[in-house]
Amino acid sequence: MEPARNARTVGTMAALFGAAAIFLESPAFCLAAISLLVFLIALAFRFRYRMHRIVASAAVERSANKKTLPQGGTVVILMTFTCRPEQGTSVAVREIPAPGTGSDAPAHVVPVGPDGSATLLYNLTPLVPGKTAAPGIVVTVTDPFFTADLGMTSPPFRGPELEVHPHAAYERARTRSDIAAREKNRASVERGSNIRSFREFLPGDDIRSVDWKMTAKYQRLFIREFMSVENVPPLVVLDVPGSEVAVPDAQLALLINSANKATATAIKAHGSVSLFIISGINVLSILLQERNPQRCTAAILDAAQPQARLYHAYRLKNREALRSVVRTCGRAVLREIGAERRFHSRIAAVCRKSLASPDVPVFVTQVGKLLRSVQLKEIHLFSLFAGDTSHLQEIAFQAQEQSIRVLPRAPEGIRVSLPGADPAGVMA
Amino acid sequence: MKAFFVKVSFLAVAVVTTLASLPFGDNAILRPVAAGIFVIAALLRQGNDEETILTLATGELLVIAVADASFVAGTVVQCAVLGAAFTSGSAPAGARDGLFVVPCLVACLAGAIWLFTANQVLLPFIVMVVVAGGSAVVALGVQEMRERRRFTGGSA
Repeated sequence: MEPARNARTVGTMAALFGAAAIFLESPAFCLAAISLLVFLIALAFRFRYRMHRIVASAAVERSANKKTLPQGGTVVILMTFTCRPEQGTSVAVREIPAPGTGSDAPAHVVPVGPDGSATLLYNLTPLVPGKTAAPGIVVTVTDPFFTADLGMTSPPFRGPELEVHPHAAYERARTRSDIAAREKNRASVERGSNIRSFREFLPGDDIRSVDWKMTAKYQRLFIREFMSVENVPPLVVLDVPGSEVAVPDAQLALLINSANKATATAIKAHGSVSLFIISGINVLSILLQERNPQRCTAAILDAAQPQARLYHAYRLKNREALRSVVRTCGRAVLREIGAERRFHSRIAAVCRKSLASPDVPVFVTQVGKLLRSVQLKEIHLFSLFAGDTSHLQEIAFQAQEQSIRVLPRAPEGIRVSLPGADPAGVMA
Repeated sequence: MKAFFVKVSFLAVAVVTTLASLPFGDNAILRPVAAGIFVIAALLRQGNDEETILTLATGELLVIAVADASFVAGTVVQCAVLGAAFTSGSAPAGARDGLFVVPCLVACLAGAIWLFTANQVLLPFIVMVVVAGGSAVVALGVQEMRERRRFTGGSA
């Protein structure tokens, strides 16, 4: 319980009168001082009584839009607080941040209305796997003389419990035999040369399409129907900034709008688009060869806010850069002699040893799989190029390796540069 | 805003009347008049915290001036001042406010009687401050501690 400005003023008056009473030995000043002290004490007891009635009548109800989510995912929580308000007091409520989570709720203190209810809607991002729950609320009661906070963390004020599944930063590199087993339903990029189905010959059909094997087997004319061919759609990569970097809302809005416009344009021009939404090396959403612009817009809007990044690329091993060093040093070993040759040989050996580790960053694997599974000619890379940009370097390296053109895009006024990558090489 | 100016005018008149009574010693007319004006001002409907402090400050000046001449009259005015400040001008107070106003006034009266009957002033004053302040701090602290334990999952 803390005294407000009024209580401090009354206390000061009492102290002044008390000091005057001691110096002057005046009963009148003694009376004034002791009366003010008793007055303050009575106000304090009244405040505690009012606060007790408010907190005793308090109830909290929370609902989450999902009970299970991956580490780094976002859940929307709606908290409703109700109490019986007391005359002459004002009540405010705020959430206690759960440990191991990122949330925008602690910044918001919600005043309780005259009817005694308050509602708080916020996003919660669990950063640690396991079970987590909102630990409770802090109720602040204020009257003209005193103010007090009370943390309410008993079971009725906690919850709901959320189950957070871990999100691995590394995974085991797969052996060749694993890669050979390809999934049947994976989107095919070899369109145009594959046979979609067979049907019986109809007058007017091109005789070059007749499948002679089927015809010989069934003694009727069968023709092949091939898959249609369409333009190769681009891949739109949207890199949402991390919450640790301060980004103006206008810039973020421009970035989101540009990415959304690019997906709509690509669908219009190519019939489909692939969308890869990331925040650093944390993958938020993947849409492969999507034809519905509304679905793209919904995915982009879902991620249209600074994200809490679980992992950062600068903590991970840059395998592409290591391979590049191995190649360069290998050439140097052939060219040089003596100490320099030994030096380059040693560097190459260290890099090879590091590359031999079976633990590969999940992001690297995902980017590799994505670039291989969708036939691509170009990548439209939307980013603010602020803060940690190591993940962009990883995408650029992998794209360069597969001869895919990377087109960096940023809102006006932001200098575009792919860190560590040779822009000429990437563009080529 | 209009009520505020009326109230401030009443308080100003009460203070001026009190100050005017000082040269005349135990004045039988001016000080009761000042006390009456003050009580009227205090009971006027209040709107904000500043008015409460203003009422309290002017009221205490009046109490000191009146009690200097007549301790009993000063005690009565003191009770009026505290009652007015406590209820923020919304007198008569509700039943629940009465729970706190009445013990407060009784405590003030008891203190005043002790001061009035004691041979000296300082000792009773210091004893009252220490006992009232200390017991209030202990009682409020225990109450707050029990409430915190209750609502943080412990047992009260």
